[in-house]
Amino acid sequence: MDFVFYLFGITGLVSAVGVVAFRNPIHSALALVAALFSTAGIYILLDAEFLAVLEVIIYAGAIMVLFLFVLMCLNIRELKALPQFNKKIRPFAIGITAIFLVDMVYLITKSQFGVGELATGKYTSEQVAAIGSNAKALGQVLYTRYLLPFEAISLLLLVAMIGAILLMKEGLGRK
Amino acid sequence: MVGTKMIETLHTFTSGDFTGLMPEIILCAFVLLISIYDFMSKNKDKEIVSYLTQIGLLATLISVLSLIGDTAAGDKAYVAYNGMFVLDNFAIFLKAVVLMVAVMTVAISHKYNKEAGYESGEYYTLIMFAVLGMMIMVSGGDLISIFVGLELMAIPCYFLTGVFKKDSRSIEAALKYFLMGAFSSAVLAYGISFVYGVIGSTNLEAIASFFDLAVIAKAKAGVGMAVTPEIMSAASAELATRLSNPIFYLVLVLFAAGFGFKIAAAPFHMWCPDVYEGAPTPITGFMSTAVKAASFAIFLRVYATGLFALHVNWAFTLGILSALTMTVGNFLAVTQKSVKRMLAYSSIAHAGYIMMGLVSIGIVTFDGVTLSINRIDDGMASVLFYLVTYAFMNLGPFIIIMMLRTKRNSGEMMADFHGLGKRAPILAALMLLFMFGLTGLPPTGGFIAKYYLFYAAVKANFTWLTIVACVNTAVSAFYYFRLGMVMYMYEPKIDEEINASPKAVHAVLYICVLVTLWIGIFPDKFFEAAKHSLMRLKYLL
Repeated sequence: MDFVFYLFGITGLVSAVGVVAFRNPIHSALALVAALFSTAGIYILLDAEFLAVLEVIIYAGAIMVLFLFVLMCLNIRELKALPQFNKKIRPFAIGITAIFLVDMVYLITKSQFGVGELATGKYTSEQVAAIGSNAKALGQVLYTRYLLPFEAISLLLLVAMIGAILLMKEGLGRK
Repeated sequence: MVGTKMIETLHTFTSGDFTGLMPEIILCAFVLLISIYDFMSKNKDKEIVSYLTQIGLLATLISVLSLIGDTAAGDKAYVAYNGMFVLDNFAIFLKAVVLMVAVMTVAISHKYNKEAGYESGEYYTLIMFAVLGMMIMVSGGDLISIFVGLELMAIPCYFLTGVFKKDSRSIEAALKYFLMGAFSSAVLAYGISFVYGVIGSTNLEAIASFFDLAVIAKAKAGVGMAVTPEIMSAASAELATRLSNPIFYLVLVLFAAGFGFKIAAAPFHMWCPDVYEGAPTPITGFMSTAVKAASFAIFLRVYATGLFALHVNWAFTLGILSALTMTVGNFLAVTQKSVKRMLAYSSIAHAGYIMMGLVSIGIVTFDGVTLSINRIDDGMASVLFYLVTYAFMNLGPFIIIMMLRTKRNSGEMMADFHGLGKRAPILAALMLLFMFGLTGLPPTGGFIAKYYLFYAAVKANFTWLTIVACVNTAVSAFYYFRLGMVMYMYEPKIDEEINASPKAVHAVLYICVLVTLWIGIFPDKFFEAAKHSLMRLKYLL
């Protein structure tokens, strides 16, 4: 089991780095698909099959297709020829990230997780299995405990749509 | 649902779910109806939409104010939706401030947008959505609802920044704001995930009880058993390990970065000048007052409840950030040629001052047995008081910048202010008054607000920070007064007539002036209101 986890973890990380590092946007997009699949694999290891399926269908499926559509509308040769704007700050950025990474690894290995009274919660694999399926549990939790944030997120999606309409609207900016 | 096994108990709506949330429901209804109206109407002039938006916001304001009586009697704060929503006097106070600023912003926007050729109904819809986000956020009783509210506030702001889409500055600002904002939100969410990993809940009450000795002892004793001295000492030991759990350092760093971005604290301030300069001026005013007030409020709510126990860990770091923020803001403001940009740097500096109040909310000591928390109520109240005062005295200058715009001049540059004392004596006098306020001179509210902050910081043993703040105030006086000198001692550079502004703009400007002076001359009532609302902060440690 551990081996599978590390396998997914490492492929996920490597492909995530690939997303930022590749110069060809199509390669980046494909690396992103790999990263999303690895995440889905980790979800399966955590007994969250439903999330894994969503990850593959929505992200790796629908959203990536949209990405690729947009990329096809662009001239990739031009994109590749664009100068990289962040070359000068690169050593600085890598330095800060490295320091932060070391700190984080140190702190996380030293820390204790799941120590609170509430930490042994009710969303364990056994409990979820007892009520039926993953999707069922997720639905129940979303519509009970997380009802208010759930509604707020629906407004958030509306805002994203209205905003996109605003930015694409004809006739704005003509004096 | 009969016969179905449940992992959560079914949510039964109580009256509190609706009464406490009534302002949000009203605002939500208005925003949906107005956007449908705007979509259906053929009218290119959006004046009616602007009026409807003002009516909606005012109706919400009235319904917020009508809730004061309900929660005034102590612990009767509404906690609804499984602790996701908390309506205490603190939330009401902030909601009222945010709504007032929003009404004023909408009132001054119409002519400005029309003249620039960017008239659209979505502009008003997005402002209302941002306000809705702030209202959910300041009422958040759980890190999840706080986070969702924060996003609902931030995403409309990204769009509003880029509303002048043929202006390259506006688009650049929006893109920058969006990318960095998305990143900082991710950082905040990462921090929240660690809190969940350690505590098993993201609820502020649960975080507070995680560090509560009595709760730990009770859990150790088991249900219905007496707490013996042995159990008590075991609980103390447990509390000590919890307080020193290294993961909280990481959580605090991530939180400081996430929240610090929203309030534009150095070193997370880089976006601020570009965004404030590129955004339409009314939106700049809105962002530097309402958005900032709501973000600070949530900073205060999270740090004064659950994370208060870790005060020793975060106070010094935030103190350093505070000193850095005010110094960076003030020193960079000195060199600016654009008044709008100068005010952006000045707003960074003011974020630094307010953080000073944040670190002096109390002194927490752990002697190995019990955690003793000495709250400094004045410190907490000074943050709120400053936020209100700052909201009014910082909106004013932006309105004046807006009024100075002519056909050929933006009204944003120092040159526009040359000899303003001759061109428009009243505007120049009011601008000078606001500059007095921002420097912190009597008789404006700025003086009292700064006084309370400095006083609280000294009380909380942050004398060094107070000294830094005093030096910074002196520096800030230089550039605020230089503007005054430019207005009165220089000859006008621009011979264009200043356009007449609509009555609404004048009215809003005078409201800002009156409130700034009123707070300065009669601060007691405001300070008491701030203090009163804080003492009723739910889950306050």
